Amino acid sequence: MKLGILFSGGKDSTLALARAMEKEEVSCLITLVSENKESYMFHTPNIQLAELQAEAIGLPLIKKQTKGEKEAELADLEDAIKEAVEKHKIEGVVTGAVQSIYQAVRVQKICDKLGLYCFNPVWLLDQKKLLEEVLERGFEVIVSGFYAEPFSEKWLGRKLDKQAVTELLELSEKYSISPAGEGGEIETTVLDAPFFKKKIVVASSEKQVSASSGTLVINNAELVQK
Amino acid sequence: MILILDLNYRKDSLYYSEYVEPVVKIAEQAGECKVAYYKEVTSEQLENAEKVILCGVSVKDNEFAQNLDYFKWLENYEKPVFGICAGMQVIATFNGCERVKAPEAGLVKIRLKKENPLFSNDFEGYAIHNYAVIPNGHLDVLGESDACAHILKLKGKQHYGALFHPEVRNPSILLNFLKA
Repeated sequence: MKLGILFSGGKDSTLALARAMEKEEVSCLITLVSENKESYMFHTPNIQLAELQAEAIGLPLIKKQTKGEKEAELADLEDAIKEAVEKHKIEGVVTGAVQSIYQAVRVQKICDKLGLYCFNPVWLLDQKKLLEEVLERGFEVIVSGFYAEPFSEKWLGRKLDKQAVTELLELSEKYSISPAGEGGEIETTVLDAPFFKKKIVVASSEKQVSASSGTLVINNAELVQK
Repeated sequence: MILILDLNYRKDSLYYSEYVEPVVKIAEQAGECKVAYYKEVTSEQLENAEKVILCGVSVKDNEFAQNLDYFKWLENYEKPVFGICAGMQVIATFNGCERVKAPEAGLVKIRLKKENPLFSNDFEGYAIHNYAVIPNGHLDVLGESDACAHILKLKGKQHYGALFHPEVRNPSILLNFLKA
């Protein structure tokens, strides 16, 4: 079955992509770039990197701009999925939804309307297991945003290695937060994975930080041979 | 041993991690689990099981409904069974209920209709289905939403069905079934 992956460039959608590739044929990535940083559906920093990530992975990308207005943004998502059906003959859509009923239901409804299968291969995956699988699979992931305590600027740009995952799990115990950022505490960007044909190297970035949140804005990145 | 049946359109499909693994994760709190694909379950597995769970499937997947012959074992099966979504529809239609279009998506309020060992108050459950069933005299309705019956029990047997997905927000309902 040909599938399109709703791709944010973060660890969850990349893990969903990896799992989907093991079972079905992935035909394209689908990304929505939201002008609204507060969007409930599409809210990932460095979403503009998706084109480079798609090139690194070697998959075509359907990319659509959206104003990110609540519920209205779903029409943009539906259009993007329809384009994927038309151009790449997808029969199903894959999301990286883990616990968000809000996101999952909205995508399910669009897929149902369009007669498509909807897969959520990391649905309800235990967050510790999710982080461990990301490590085991050898993804190169950096923290690209933090939006809640106890995270701070020192996490921006940090690689999610074994030490970082250990710290995330310790923080989750101490502060009752989601260790994999399911509560929006952190966002991530994937720079490499075993199935990437090339890897992404960040050439320049800047940290935009306020009291309780921060984003690593990647201004320039390039693909390098592996 | 708790026997968990995968009702998805294909064995080991991409849906396995979405509809089977979360159920296994909860069931393992109650005991040893074994997963089998519904078209391949053996009489030995059914005999050795203490309880059986029939997992749900995706909205688009109706394959199970076209293969009800694979559930003939339910007819004479006396051990406890819990059907989730598609699994509930199997138990209900196998006992003569009509399957009807009644889509729901998202959290739905489920009201307690009849006292039972699985839950004791109204609650919100995650529903994602296009079909529901119209219960007949063979089944008690334990809980319902505005749209349809959500939790049923076959009279005379410990066969339960939940149209919503308890593995998402209501694991205690599954655990109450497993530990009873």
